[in-house]
Amino acid sequence: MAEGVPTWEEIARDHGRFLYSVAYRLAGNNDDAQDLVQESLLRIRRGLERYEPGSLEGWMARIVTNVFLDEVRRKKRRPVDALPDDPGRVLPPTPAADEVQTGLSDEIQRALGELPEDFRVPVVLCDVSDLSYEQIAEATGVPIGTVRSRIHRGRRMLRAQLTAAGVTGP
Amino acid sequence: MTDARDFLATDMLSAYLDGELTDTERAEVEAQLAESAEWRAELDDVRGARTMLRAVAEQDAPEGFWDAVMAGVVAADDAPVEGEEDDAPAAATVVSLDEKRRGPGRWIATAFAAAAAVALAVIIVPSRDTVKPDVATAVVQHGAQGSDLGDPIGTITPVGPLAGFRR
Amino acid sequence: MTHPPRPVRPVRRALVGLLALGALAVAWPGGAFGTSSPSEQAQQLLERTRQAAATHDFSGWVTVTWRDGATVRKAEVEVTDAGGVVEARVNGNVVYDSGTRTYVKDGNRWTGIAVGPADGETPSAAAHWKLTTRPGPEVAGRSTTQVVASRRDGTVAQRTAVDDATGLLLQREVLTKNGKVERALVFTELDLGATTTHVTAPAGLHAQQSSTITTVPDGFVAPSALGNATLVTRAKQSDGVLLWYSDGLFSTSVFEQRGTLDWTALPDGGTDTSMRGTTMRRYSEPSGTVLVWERDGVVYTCVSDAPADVFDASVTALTAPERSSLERVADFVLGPFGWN
Repeated sequence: MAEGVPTWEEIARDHGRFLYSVAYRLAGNNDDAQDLVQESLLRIRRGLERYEPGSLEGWMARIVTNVFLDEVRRKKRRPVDALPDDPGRVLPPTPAADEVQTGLSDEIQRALGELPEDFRVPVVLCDVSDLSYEQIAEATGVPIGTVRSRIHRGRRMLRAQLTAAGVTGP
Repeated sequence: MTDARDFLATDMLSAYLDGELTDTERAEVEAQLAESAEWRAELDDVRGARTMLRAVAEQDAPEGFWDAVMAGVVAADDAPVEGEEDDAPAAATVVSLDEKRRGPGRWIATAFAAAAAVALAVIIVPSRDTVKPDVATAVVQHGAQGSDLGDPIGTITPVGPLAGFRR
Repeated sequence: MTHPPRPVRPVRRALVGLLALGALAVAWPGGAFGTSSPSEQAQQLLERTRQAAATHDFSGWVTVTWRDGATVRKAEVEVTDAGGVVEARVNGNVVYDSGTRTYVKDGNRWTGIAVGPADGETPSAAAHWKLTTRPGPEVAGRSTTQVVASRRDGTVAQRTAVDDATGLLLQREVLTKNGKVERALVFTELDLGATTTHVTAPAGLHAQQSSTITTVPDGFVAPSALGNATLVTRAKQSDGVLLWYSDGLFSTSVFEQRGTLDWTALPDGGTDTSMRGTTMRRYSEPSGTVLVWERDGVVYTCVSDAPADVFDASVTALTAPERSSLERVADFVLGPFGWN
């Protein structure tokens, strides 16, 4: 990365894989991940003016999280996105048919999808984006003790889901 | 009721794996692990989940993903910063999934509107009205209600909390 | 030794009056039931246990066992029924049911438990359970008749042993679908005869208010049925809404409170489980299973004495993501603040 502040295109190019992975693990499907990444890049583009060089990945992960949580809140206020009697009403996200990941990744994603957002988010931020507990606390707005307990319980639930699905060990 | 320290104790296992403990705390955990098979089992559980998730964490986006994303970002207006958007009328926040896929603009506008709207008590931010359910009372209450409606044993069995199993 | 019914809450009085006649027909050893069907005989026996508890004094010991995850736990409870006041003592703590009020003494602290007025009709157990009777085991040295309640697939859900002489319920076992005993209680000693309780609830101790309501306030959820259990009573209490469901054999309480659940304040010993994406904390108690969760700004505390499979199936009515089209229209019209 060049000295000083990168452009948003450079960020997309150099950290695309990271952005996509966090977005995909949070959202659970490619369509929603696409929206998440796009909106995140927009906010990154705007926020770069105020960005102070530091942990770029932490900052990006926070933005993706906020975009994700805003979307979750929007959905919670409006339980359906479609008007009544719309046959295309919202269903929980499922992996799209065109995805090529196989095996363990799919199982992990399925298991992650079973976790409610308030457990999935800290676990993903910890294990996918490698944020510290303090950064996660800042990103999600909860005390660090809550982050710690949610990560722990989230992992236990994840393990239980995987075991129930017959997935044992890495 | 349990001592708060006891409750947090097994949480320390994840923090232990993530390197989030102080030296003293780490020593405590290691001592506990040496003594307790339950702790070792729980450590195995979370370590397994952590390892598996980290093993698959990063992956490439599918074909066409980035073209769509970059095009979308370029095409979007330099929209106002969050907080400057007026409260959108209810209709603007109802977007069908199909519309969402066709164009990013509408979705982004609604995301701003949603962000700008008053934040209700939601999952992450603790509400002022925090509820601490009284499980022991709920158990006795259930028994008492049952006994009131004829269950002869209702009064006798809600003894778990009293027998010391939720301390 | 029996005694005349003492002053009781209205429903018990009515129940006792109603059964006084029925009691004459069924109350002799060996239970000659005439020409009623096995199912009717079973129901009569169950009714008999309710009346017997209201009219017999006794003291005794009950062993309560329950399955908590992989562990089987046990507690010995000393029980007294003195003039209709039932007292259960364990570890120096007491549940005390005076017929008009229920109290808990936990250490040195007394708490009044609010119980909603019992004005609902509980459904007939035969509607959802297959009931039969057969000669029962000897319990506390006494001969019994056993009532067996089975699920539709034939697996036994509950076995109760009823004392032939008095109609008192002496043993009850609730079984999982796999035939394991999930919860059980059994009298190991029973002495009939006049007796007194060991403690008396302090005078002037009040339970919180509880009043029956016919509809629940906005934001609360009150399905008319949970699985096969129908809604019997709804009560508004100072900090929430209490619903009580029954399928004639088992019952479920649903206590709802507005707000955000403080998970760290929950008692130790529960396990986290997930149902349809909703995290729940589950506890196995001797009197039933407890599930705690939150959804849409409401915290649910549910207690049920049904076997786990029945309870889990019924709770989905409270966690179903689908909303009726009418509810969705209401959401749309009311906007984002509609459900607050």
